[in-house]
Amino acid sequence: MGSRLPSTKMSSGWLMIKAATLSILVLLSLSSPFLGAMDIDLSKVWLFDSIEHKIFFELRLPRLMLSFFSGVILALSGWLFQTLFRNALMTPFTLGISGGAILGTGIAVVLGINSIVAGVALTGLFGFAGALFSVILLLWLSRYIVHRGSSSLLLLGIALSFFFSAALMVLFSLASAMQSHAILHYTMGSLSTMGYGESLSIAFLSLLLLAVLYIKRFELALLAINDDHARLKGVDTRRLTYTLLLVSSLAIGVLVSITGPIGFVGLIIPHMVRKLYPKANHQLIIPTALFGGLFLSACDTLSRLPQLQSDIPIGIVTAFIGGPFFIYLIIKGK
Amino acid sequence: MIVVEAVSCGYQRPVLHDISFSAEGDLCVLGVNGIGKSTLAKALCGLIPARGEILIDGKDLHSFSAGLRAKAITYIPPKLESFDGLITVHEFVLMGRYPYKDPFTAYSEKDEKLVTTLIEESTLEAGHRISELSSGQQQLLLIAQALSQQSDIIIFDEPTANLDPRHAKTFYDALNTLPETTQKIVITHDLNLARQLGFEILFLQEDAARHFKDPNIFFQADNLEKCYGVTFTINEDVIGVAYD
Repeated sequence: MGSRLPSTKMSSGWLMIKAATLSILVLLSLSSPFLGAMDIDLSKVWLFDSIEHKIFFELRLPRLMLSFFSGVILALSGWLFQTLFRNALMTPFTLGISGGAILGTGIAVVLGINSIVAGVALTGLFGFAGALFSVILLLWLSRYIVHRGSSSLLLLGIALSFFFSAALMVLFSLASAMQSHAILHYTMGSLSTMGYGESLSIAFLSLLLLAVLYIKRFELALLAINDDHARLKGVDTRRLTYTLLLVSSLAIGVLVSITGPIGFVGLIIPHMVRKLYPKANHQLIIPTALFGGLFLSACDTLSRLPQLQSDIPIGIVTAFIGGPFFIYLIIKGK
Repeated sequence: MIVVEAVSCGYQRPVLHDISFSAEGDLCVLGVNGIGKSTLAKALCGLIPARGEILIDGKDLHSFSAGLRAKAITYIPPKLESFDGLITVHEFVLMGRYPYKDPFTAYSEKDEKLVTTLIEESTLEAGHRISELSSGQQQLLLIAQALSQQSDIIIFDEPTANLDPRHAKTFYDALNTLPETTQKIVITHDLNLARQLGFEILFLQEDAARHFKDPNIFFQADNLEKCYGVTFTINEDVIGVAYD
């Protein structure tokens, strides 16, 4: 039994990996506003009428905010879905929820709806509606599953994803050439933004999600054992699940309507944090949020490093960087 | 106090049909494999839907809120299945205090103290992670958590199945530390344990529950033979822990 006991002292090699990961992520994130099609010198940022000032405050800083808080939402939703359904492969993507949000946003584009009502972008509402629709569809369909294991739920989610992307293809053929182009560009995922409207709303939603998860951490700790266990200890699991799904669909729906799909963050960040911090699941909410934000903003920096005609879609970078690192963590094991 | 009136319950197909009984004192639930002892326990705690009427201390089971139900009745499964294996023993036992916790706050210092004492009595180590425990230790862990929950009715499902004689004694001692007012229900196949506990006996059959208020009547060889369909010899030469 001795060898199975948790080592109270982390091996120094592992500590090094942790420190290196964190400092690389922080460094890349912090340098994000200075790098890109035009590299910016810090000294010129403070000259009010310089082009650097304009680029820094109107393009780069909002973009850093958008990428950081998008990363927070993606990582936290991944963590939440894995906890709620007790399956390591659950994310808003594998369950078809962001597929629904993409379809909702696509519909808004085809209908030509891109106005802002009472400070809320209507495409965001369509994204939220799409996400919520797929959550409700998923829950409704799961009632008819005979073997209610979480793997059947995952299969349902994958089926829904395929259905939604097929519906998006139909939408393509209905749309005009310009709309098709807009949808195509949107489905590649992008963090480019202008001004603070989008980044502030994503920041607000990510903090809302973080606050709700943190307040509900005791209930989520019980749910992470199993559903019956949580109910035996007095958790109204159905109400809790519905509340959390509603809040996360709102965050994911609006996020996807702005950035398009950005895969992989929700899957790998919670696992990465579990490997780096071997603690009980409910104690990882804040590290997961932090790593998610840093990871996505670091990936965004990398996507703008090569001086190409256009930025590399962010989803490609997250997969390219995250994939090998994740495999390394799995093999290295802990 | 439990009153069960014409209850049928199960999963895809019903397991128990039209069961009725009422029990005020401690109870030992016996019955052949797969007859639905655990199913009955889950129905009593509201984990699975049931037709018929279940009254806990005179109140309909469905009228309880989730929190009040956890204070009224709980169930300890025979083994622990957890998605999160990195929870520590202390964190796990502390979760038994959830129904008493104020929303929006952490567990109180009083809760922490109670849990520390319970863990010491359970012979477990507070800092160990639950995935590192043996099946016997997991059973002790589940029992410690249920004791911290202090429900009025506690259902133990095969509580000693994985315990060595010394730890079976630990379980027995834990039972004795429970307040008189706690109604204890033990599901088991161990006839020696059932006899030593001395509780009333509920022998479960598919469409009836036979209630023996006097356990001595149940433990007569001819009655046991009627219940289980095999012949029994009863003698005093069995090896058993002195539970006194």
